[in-house]
Amino acid sequence: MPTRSPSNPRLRAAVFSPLSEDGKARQVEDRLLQGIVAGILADGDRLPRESELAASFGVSTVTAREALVGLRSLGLVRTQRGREGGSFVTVTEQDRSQLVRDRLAGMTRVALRDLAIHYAAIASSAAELATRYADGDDVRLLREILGEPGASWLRASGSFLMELAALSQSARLTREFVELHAEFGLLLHCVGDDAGLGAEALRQGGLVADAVAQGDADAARHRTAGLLEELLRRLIREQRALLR
Amino acid sequence: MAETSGAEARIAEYFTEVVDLVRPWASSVGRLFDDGRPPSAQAVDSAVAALVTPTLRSTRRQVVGAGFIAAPDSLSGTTWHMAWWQGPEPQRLATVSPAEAGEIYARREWFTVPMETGEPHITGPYVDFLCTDDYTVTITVPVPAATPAGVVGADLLVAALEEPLERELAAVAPTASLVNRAGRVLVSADPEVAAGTVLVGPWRHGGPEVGRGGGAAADTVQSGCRLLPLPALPLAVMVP
Repeated sequence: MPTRSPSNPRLRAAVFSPLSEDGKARQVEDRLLQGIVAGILADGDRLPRESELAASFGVSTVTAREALVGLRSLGLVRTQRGREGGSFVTVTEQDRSQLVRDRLAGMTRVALRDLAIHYAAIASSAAELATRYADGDDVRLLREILGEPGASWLRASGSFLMELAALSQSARLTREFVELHAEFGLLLHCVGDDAGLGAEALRQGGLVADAVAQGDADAARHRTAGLLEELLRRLIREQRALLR
Repeated sequence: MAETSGAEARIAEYFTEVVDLVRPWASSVGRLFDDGRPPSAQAVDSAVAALVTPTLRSTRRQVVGAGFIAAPDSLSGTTWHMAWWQGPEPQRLATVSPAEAGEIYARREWFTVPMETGEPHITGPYVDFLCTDDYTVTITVPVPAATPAGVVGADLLVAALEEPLERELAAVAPTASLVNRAGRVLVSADPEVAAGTVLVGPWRHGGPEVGRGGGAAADTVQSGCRLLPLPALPLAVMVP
């Protein structure tokens, strides 16, 4: 006799939720958009061919093409025919900042907070684990990243948190962090020129590094969470200003 | 030092085999620099692909990624270059923008240590968020050339070490662990000891055989253990 497992209906629904090709094209478009906005895909960069895109995202060629059409309509991709042809990223610095601001302005505060909570939960757990596993060289690398001359505070604090996540020795936690950082770190570009915030972020990063060096798990967790709360508060203020 | 037991020899053999696999790649890549002119990135790419893909395709080896990382400005036309392939159907590691590539490897242990010492090095275990996206051990060998040309290397997954090495470690002692140069555990016969734990402080061949403890993480340090360094490898078996 078939039986019905007593699992939570919400979880069951998630398992069987539709995977429409339409949704996939949006996802591909969004991923490429994230790459463009984050500057990973720079102006003039050639995108992989449709078939390669399809293979790497695990979608059909039609879906990959659809995603490129979407980006082309946003003016972010230009397609050139011929032997030297292909799809190229076309984005100016202004476009990029505008795209990030649109993204922040388009989020609800609930969604923004929810993202920040998830991000902080992962980052602060990683920080706590890092106190257990980091050795002297690891701490030195963390401090070097924070003090790197010429690097923007956004880049420095992003690399710092990334390195901290990896020190958890957990590949899953690190992968989760990378995904969340792509989303949250992107939004931070809206407040990237706030030098005061930058100085405070780097100072708090330094305190996290101290906690890791001392093997103080509680301090590492709380200071990391504190740093991210500070960034969230600033993002919420920025969002308000954008909507006004 | 006590005589190397059969089990220790087999543990060493597991890694020596990979070092011996990678070493000839270093000389092959080194020959591209022989005429004194820096080769192009394309020339390096096709040479490296031919060297590493048979290994990645082979099912016998545990190598999940392999390739060449150029020293800054050692190739013509580019400051940074990574020629790295992954997986049984070898795929090129997505090329990163030049500015990022520098940040990615200029201070990574798997690059800096062999470049400085001129010796093969074993990095890890560490979470490799650049290449494998997994918990990894990386073996790198410097490429010999008039000026340091870079490193060639291979990635192994830490998870794959348990099956072949746990039993060998248990044969040395029921709670023996394999540790790297920094005293960090790659794999242990003691199921309570997690990979990545810093069990002893940094050590070197010919150093004291009794660990004193060290590292930043005080609660994981044990002192008074015995260290059995594996010959010619930056690895030791640690017996508590």
